[in-house]
Amino acid sequence: MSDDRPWLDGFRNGEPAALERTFRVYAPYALVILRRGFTASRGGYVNAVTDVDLQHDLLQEVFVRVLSPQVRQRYDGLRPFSVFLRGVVGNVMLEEARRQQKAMARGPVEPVELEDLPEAAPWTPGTPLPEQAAISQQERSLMQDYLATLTPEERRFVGVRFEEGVSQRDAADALGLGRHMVRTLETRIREGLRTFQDQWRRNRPPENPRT
Amino acid sequence: MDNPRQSDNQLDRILGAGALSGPEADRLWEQIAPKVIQPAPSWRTAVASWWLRGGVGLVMAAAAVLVWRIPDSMDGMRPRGGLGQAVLEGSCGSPVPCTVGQPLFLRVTPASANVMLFVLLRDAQHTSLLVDGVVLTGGLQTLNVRVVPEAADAAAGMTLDFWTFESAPAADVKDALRAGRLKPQGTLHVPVKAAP
Repeated sequence: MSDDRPWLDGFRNGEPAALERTFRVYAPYALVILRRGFTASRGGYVNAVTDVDLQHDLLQEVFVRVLSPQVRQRYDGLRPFSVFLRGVVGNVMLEEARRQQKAMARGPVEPVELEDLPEAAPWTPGTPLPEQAAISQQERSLMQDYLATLTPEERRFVGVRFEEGVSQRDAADALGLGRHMVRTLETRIREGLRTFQDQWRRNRPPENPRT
Repeated sequence: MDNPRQSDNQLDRILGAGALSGPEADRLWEQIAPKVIQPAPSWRTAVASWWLRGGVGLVMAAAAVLVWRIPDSMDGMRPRGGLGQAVLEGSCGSPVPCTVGQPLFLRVTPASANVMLFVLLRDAQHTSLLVDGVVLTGGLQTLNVRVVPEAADAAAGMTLDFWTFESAPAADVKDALRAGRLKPQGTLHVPVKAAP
């Protein structure tokens, strides 16, 4: 965002399109931080958030904050936006960890400063995210078996709508479908997986507790 | 995998091979958007007047670049309850001056909520009431107005006079306002250059 002036100005001005773009582009990066946890430079470890629904709650909190007028104005537009976002994610995670009393005793109690988070290279939109594929081997195996039952069109839909993560509007455009059809397909595929999963679990070999 | 009834989020995450899936992102944005996007101006109690100039429609304001900000002093000018220190801002997507044909968007920060805004546009060929009593609900608010400078505006630019009132002004006040006889609470001058 820092090198895209119209986007940056739209973000600062609270323009809806710019805010949504910010969320859509950076939410996957925020999710990566949420699910791998972090060590603060002043010591202490904040646990990774592994529960998908809790990840949603925290992502929502992160972006409500980062898109609020007060926090938007604090972004200087010079540093990569991912660095700025990382600080907000860190604070939200720390608050959640404290709430759950899971933070280590020596963890910091004051808000996380940007510099506290591990100084990984800033993420640039469009580049691969670390630890993108964070599902278990079992889930991956389930997914592969389920995909094999779908038609080529349905598999393409899964690729666009679920794996690439595009919005319903953009998926409809990309696939030449109406939005109603996108919704219908989405529900059908999701519920299909739910049903398939039950059967798949009954038929698979006993689980190795170490995997 | 041990959860007998997984949530839509969990299933969508599996379908996304671990990435944030589109349905998840859509659900999240539906929750976030109402909390971070300023409400559009209320049209229920105000008379909304959208003017067409030069064949170009006035449409919902879109993403725009803030290029200048002129908080005019309202000292001594409080017509019939009009509140001081409202700030009208303009943006045409690039540094000033705006270019002919390049849409200008407007937004306003009123000094208090529930005031009525009037904006009079003066350019090379017209004087027209661009915003006719839109109720401002407080905070920064984008106006549902888009103005496109014409070639004739390149010489002197465009001028936007504005007023806020606590209640609907009397007819004679509005007449004076339209005629440019009422001193504005603030003025935004928009320099315009010819298209390259």
